[in-house]
Amino acid sequence: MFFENLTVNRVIIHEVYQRLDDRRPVDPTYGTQLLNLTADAMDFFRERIINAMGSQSQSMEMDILAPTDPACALEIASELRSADDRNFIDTSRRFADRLTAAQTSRNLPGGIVVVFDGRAGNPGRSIVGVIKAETHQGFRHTDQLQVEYLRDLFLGPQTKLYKIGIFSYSGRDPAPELPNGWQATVYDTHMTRSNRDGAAQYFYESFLGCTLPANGARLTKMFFDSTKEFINKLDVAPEQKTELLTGLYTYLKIDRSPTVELAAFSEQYLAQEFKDDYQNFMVRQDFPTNAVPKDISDIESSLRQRRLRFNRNIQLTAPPDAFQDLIVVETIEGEAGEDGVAPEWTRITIRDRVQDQS
Amino acid sequence: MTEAEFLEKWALDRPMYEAWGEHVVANVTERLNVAINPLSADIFLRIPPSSRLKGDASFLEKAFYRKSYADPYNDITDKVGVRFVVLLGNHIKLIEDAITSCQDWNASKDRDYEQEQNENPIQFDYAAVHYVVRCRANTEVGDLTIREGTPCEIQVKTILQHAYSELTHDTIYKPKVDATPRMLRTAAKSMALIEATNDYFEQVVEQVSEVVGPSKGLTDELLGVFRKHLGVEPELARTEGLIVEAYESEAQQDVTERIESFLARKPFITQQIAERARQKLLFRQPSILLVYMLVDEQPSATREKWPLTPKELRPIFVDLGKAFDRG
Repeated sequence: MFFENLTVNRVIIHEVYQRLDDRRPVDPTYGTQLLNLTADAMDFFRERIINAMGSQSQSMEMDILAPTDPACALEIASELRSADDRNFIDTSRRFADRLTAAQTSRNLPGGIVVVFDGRAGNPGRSIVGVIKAETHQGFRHTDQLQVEYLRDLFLGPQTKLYKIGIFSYSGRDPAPELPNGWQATVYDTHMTRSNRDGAAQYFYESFLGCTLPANGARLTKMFFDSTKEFINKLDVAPEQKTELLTGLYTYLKIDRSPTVELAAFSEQYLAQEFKDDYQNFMVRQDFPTNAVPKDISDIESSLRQRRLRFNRNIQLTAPPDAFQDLIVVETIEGEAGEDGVAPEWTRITIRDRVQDQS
Repeated sequence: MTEAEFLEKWALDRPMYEAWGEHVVANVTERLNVAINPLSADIFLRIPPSSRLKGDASFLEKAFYRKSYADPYNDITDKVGVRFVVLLGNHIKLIEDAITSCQDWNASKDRDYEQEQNENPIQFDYAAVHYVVRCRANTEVGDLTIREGTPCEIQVKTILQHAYSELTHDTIYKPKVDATPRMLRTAAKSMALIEATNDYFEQVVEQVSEVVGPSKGLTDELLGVFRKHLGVEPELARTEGLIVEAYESEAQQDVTERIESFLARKPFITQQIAERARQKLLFRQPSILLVYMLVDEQPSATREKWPLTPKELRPIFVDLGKAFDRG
């Protein structure tokens, strides 16, 4: 789902609270009116959403659990899509209720629930979104350079303080049975960091009724194969390719992030001049521009060994970490042949002595 | 005619001549504006053109004392005179075209410095182009009627030539001055220098234009696309130059096709730019179209090369649905 051409139509907020000491839930406080944002405020809001959901973002397309139960988030979204303003205000409360129910753990903080609808994509699709934003504190200065301390700011730049779920509708009329016709995209920085405790799942699973897509293994393999192809095709010295491939192996095998993302790999390992070409190359292979779940089960054996191959069946193999730590590969100019042309040779330095021969 | 009768007739005719002179100025200026669009004649002409009626004394002197005319009143063609002053010699042609293309009058060239220089190549003297334009048919201007045949003299010169003529007019060509050979030679030396200076001026303009040419060409092309697709009038500012400088290496021969193809694929962009253009000058620069297209194709590189602040580039990323801070 591409989020270009995003327009936001109606917005409302409610507040949800942390559970009490005895784990009893606290009722949310409901907003009673649609928000009336200025043009600047709306631009800011759209920018927050795009930074989280746009291409090169950390959001992930997720599968919607089927069959849907009547009280599920998708059901609420579907009603909101066709609701008039009065019904929008009332129905949006159910998101706040559902989130309160889903936040069973006592250490999950409260926050502001933003419910909105609008359109996105080209061609445009209806979208219904819900944001949980934790509040944070900040200072504000006045014209006279006095200072105010504010405790209820939200949607600030700290990305781990908010999570977003957007349901988009493919526009078929009459509407088919749920969840057909709908797609879900979720932004939750907990998904992309290394902790995988239950706290990460409350938002996308219990609250939104989504699940990690099943195509993780396939997509991870596609990421591995296509990125390798890209690196090998680059017009750079072989040493640089070796380094980039080391980066790829590190990213897949050693990095503990549970997702695979073009932007993350590109940011960490690719020089500026290659970033756009890489992005465009992968998009042409139909690889998603945001995050996919990491699943290396299909490429486990390939990841086990790095391999350099030469003519006449000469090979050097090593596990990726040993390759990175102990092997240095350099291109050198070889002895000129009869035609006076110097061929390209490779010097391999292994930081160890020969342990065993056969 | 006696001198008194002469002056009487002149007094009666003066309003008509004045109107005729103003009419000539207005007409030539309008044609010039069209020819040099989008530049404006106000800036192109170095001295505001105005019409000048011949003074009584000088008129009488010319009619009765200085030369012999068969019909002095009508033969003297500079009863009203108009002067157009331009910067470079090669601009004079533009004024000439404006003069000769107008249908309201018959134009005849009275003096042509280039021809005079060809005939007397080693002489350095007054240089200008003079036309006499005569009203073609009785013409209504305001509530006056200009009689058919009414003449007006038009002088076209460069600002340097004008300086020379002002100097000599006030000095060696004043009636009571008996110009000595030394004075004349000194004046000639200055005119020779003026000619050389004009040539250097023209060279400078040409050399600058070679450097600036490709960028200006790009802006002109983008202006065309902008006007075609957006319903908003573009407004060139210094920002345009900054953006073009940053991205002109990305814009090749087919930049117009690429942009049009981009707009065809993403029609909502046209509307977005039009809306933003109403609020922000940045979006009224024609090169903003190029920026949108490049952000779509190469977001990372375009972000690197953006010459203004990130804050100004963010809305473009939002419109295209791309996260700004990643990748």
